[in-house]
Amino acid sequence: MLKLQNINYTIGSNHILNSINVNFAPGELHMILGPNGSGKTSLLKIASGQIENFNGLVWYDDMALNEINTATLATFRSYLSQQNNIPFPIKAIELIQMGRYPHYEYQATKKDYDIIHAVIDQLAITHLKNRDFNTLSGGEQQRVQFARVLAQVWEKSKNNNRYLFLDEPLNNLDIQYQKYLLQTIRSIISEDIAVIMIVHDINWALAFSDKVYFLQNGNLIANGNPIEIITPELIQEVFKIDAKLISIPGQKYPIVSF
Amino acid sequence: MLNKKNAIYIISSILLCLIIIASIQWGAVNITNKQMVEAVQHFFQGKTPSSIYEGVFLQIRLPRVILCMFSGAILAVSGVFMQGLFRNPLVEPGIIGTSAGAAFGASIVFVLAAYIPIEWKSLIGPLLVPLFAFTGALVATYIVYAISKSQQKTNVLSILLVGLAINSMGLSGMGFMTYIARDPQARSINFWNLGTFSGANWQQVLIVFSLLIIVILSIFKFIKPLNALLLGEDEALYLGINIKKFRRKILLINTLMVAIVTSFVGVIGFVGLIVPHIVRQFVGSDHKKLLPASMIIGASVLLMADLVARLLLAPSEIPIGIITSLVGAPIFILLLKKNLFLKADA
Repeated sequence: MLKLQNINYTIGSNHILNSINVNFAPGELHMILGPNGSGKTSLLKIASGQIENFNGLVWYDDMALNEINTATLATFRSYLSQQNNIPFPIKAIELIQMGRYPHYEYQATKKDYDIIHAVIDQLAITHLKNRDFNTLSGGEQQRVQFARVLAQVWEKSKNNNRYLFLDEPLNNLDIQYQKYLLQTIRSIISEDIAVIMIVHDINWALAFSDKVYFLQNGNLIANGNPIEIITPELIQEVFKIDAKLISIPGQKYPIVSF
Repeated sequence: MLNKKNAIYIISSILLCLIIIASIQWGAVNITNKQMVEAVQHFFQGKTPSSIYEGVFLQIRLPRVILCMFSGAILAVSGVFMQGLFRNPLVEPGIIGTSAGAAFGASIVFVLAAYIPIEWKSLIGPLLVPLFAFTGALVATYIVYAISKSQQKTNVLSILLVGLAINSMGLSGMGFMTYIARDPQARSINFWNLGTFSGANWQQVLIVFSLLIIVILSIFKFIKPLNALLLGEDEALYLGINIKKFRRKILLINTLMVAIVTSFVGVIGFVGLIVPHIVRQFVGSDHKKLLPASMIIGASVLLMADLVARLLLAPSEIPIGIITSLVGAPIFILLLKKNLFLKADA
């Protein structure tokens, strides 16, 4: 269980996050939604150990985050950032291999290579592995980066649950790959792994998530089971637009129409 | 065994051996194979050199070639380190002020040597110049690094501009030392400012050799952090790299490398820029391959430059820094053009 207790975060006089209390349980897919600038990425960076100058407490399975050393944390927590460029030539497979860095000292073992190839198969990116990362399209780069963070937490950790953070992983992907990626994420979730991701599309949240969290101006407005808490009123409150929820016969969850 | 993967190491190693032999034999005085072999035999038999050729070989040519080779390897590695740390393919010690800072520090010792208490000199002796050079280089590098970090997004161009300013400060500091220097000191600063291996001796070889061992040992520790940094500082942290600790270590070692080399042979620019660039075309950016290959190619390139410096106007010598800048600056402009257009497209 990942617990965030009373998180307050300010930059200068700007309040980015206000008194956030939230638990992310393993075995579930958690989706964070909210308007631009509502503090989603800050929340993810605080929970994952990137931002350190916040007030409050973060617990990973009864260990305080600030007492876990960087190298150990990396063996059971990985993070996919939003797109950033790499100013040097690098092969996709070399980049994916970096996901295994926390697990070996100098030389990757056979197990590491097996995992790298399992991840490449899982994401159907075999045709990209020997390409230069910089020559790939935005969507292809996103899938290669996802392979890297997936390889990092691929095998069970001896002492800890695993946590996978994804900051807008669907960016740059066409609908086919958005669905494929979400299905992949669902298929890797087991009782010891929690996926915490930021998405913009409420319909994906309804279709795939176990828990949703709505942020607005740094406040957690609502959280819980998506089918229960996503209502036209909530969407109006958070995003200031009128929306309808439409039931589809034979489908367990409704769709949102704007 | 000659697959594409290790072909670069084999070919560049053969090339390096050929250049070493050529560098030893050719010069103001040419040395034949026979004289070389005899000199080595006499040396191990404990005999005094029997001819002027043997003396030239043992006391002038050999230390020069070895010092040049080691310096080339160290400067190339320094370029790789700095490019990795700054995440910028256009930086190297000569461009962002590390060398200029070292040169300024060293020139202070040259000019003010007369005022330094004799006890100090005997205490730290040959390390006095490297010590001042180290301080100058550290201050210069740290300023550039701190300013580039204080920005939200590090930008290729802004680092170069800050580096340019720091470089100018180092050069003007050195200009001032030259101005207040008495004539023979000033001339030695000037010559050394342009880089030269003409003063190479065995003591310097020994110090640079020890440095090279430290560099090689640290490379093993640096491969993973440098690779992870290709993705960005946040990503490196998520991969379990303690960035703050790593940054301190690599800045310290890199400054030590540049300071020692610069204090012995002067400012030799662009080696740290061109060599990693060439090597990346063959092996990519994985530092496990990039660093060793850069050492071999760096040694070869600097030996070639030194050979040209010695032979072009023989028997007199051209400062080697002039040769490396003459070749390096146009390549730098090409790289600059390529990288700036890349940024504009993004």
